[in-house]
Amino acid sequence: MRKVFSFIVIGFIVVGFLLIYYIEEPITQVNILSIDKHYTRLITTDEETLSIPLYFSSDKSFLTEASAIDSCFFKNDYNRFQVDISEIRYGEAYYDNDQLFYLYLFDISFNSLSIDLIDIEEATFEINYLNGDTLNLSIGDIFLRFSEITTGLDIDIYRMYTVVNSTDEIDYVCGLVIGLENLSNKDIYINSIEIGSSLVMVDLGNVVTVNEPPRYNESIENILLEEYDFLKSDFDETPYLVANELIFVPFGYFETLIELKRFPIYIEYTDNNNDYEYLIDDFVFISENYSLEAYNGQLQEYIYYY
Amino acid sequence: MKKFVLLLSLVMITLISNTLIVKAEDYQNYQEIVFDSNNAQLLKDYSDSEISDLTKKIRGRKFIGWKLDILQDEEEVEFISETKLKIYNNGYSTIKHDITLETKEETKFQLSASGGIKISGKGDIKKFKGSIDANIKASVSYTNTKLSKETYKFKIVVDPMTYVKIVTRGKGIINNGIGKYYFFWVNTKSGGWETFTVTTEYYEIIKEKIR
Repeated sequence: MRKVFSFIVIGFIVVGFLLIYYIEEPITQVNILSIDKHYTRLITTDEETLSIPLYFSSDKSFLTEASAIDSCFFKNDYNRFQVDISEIRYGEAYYDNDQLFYLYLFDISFNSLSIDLIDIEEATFEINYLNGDTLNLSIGDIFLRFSEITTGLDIDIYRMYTVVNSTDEIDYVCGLVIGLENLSNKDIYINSIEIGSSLVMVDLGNVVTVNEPPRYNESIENILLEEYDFLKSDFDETPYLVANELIFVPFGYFETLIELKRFPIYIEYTDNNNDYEYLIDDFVFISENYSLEAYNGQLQEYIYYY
Repeated sequence: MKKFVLLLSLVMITLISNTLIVKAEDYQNYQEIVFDSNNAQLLKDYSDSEISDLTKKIRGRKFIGWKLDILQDEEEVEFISETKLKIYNNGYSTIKHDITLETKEETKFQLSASGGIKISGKGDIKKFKGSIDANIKASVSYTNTKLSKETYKFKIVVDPMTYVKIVTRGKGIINNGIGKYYFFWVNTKSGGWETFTVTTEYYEIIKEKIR
């Protein structure tokens, strides 16, 4: 009898240890990090998505399950657009101040929208869950245009890259090196070049021809051979005559310098008194890095309590 | 005959219109790697006799294990890599082409070794073979460089008899050094090691006529 009793006690102890070891503590809160980024994209197909990176302190929460989401919106004080979650992809685990975070990429599709543009400064990503809870996460500025890229035009690019300068806080695109070719036998004038964002302007009035292609980190003063102020409120849009040469076009920023990595190019030009637009799909000029250290100063933290 | 040419053109366009994925490449094959510091150099630029002389300068013996010396510590470099991809349009019609640029962890973080130091690894994760990996990790910072696989898609117009290429430039960090392995205070092997971490990549599009 004593043996049976001992076995039972030992069994309880073993089962107790196993339960302590295997049963995880219930989640009581999830910390969420979002990044204020600058999204400017040309969405060319219904299948194309925009990936929003979000970091969660737990990888076992319903917050990262697409099936738990009822609806999503991109919004600010003036606009609110309903968008769809195409997929939520797990990325990688990162540490921020010794706390572990799991990166999830929320791939957003826009099938239910029938508009040409989304223009939202200081956007909030609203996620409504089936349990009635809502997350409102700051994600930065969103400029989307829905259109096919254009073909069969009289101009084409033959070279394109960005030049990046640095301040103590930020690496920023100071201009675009672009080679434009006139494929016709008529004069073609570029009236404007845009990157889709209303916060950044391509300063066509200060375009210079570059005989020697500048390095990717050449200082703008070396290229323009004069001082250049990036923070401007107005730009001179002098038409540029396409001359099959490599040019440097400086960028101007309306309020503050913005970290641009990927953007489209929209070129408006006149050919024989007719106006055309040449759309170049958003290109990754500078590679993305999802490590949290890279987003120092752009991170917002939220806490979801169960 | 016209139908045949049309069919052939369609087949060619279909073949080259499949999404291309950029493969990882060895940093030692990059067109150019330039150190910010004038005195720094890559492991492969040391001659065998230089490595041998530097190895002899590692002082002290050990019962069992590696003794290391660091030659380049967190040296910043700029590089121009090989052309990432080329898309040819040999046909007679303009095409819209989908390009997928995929940067893998193995491109972002690479290793090389010489002499008695070897590299081992399964899949994308490479490391120095044996206990030297931990010694190097303790000497230089390369453990916190883990990056997600990044995929970018974009669409580009390619005119007839034209090709498009994507070229990458960038910035990175190089650590390198030498090591001697001791077994019962006897030096049994030695060699060089190097780590290369890409910090930023800058992409460029170039379109040229097929000659």
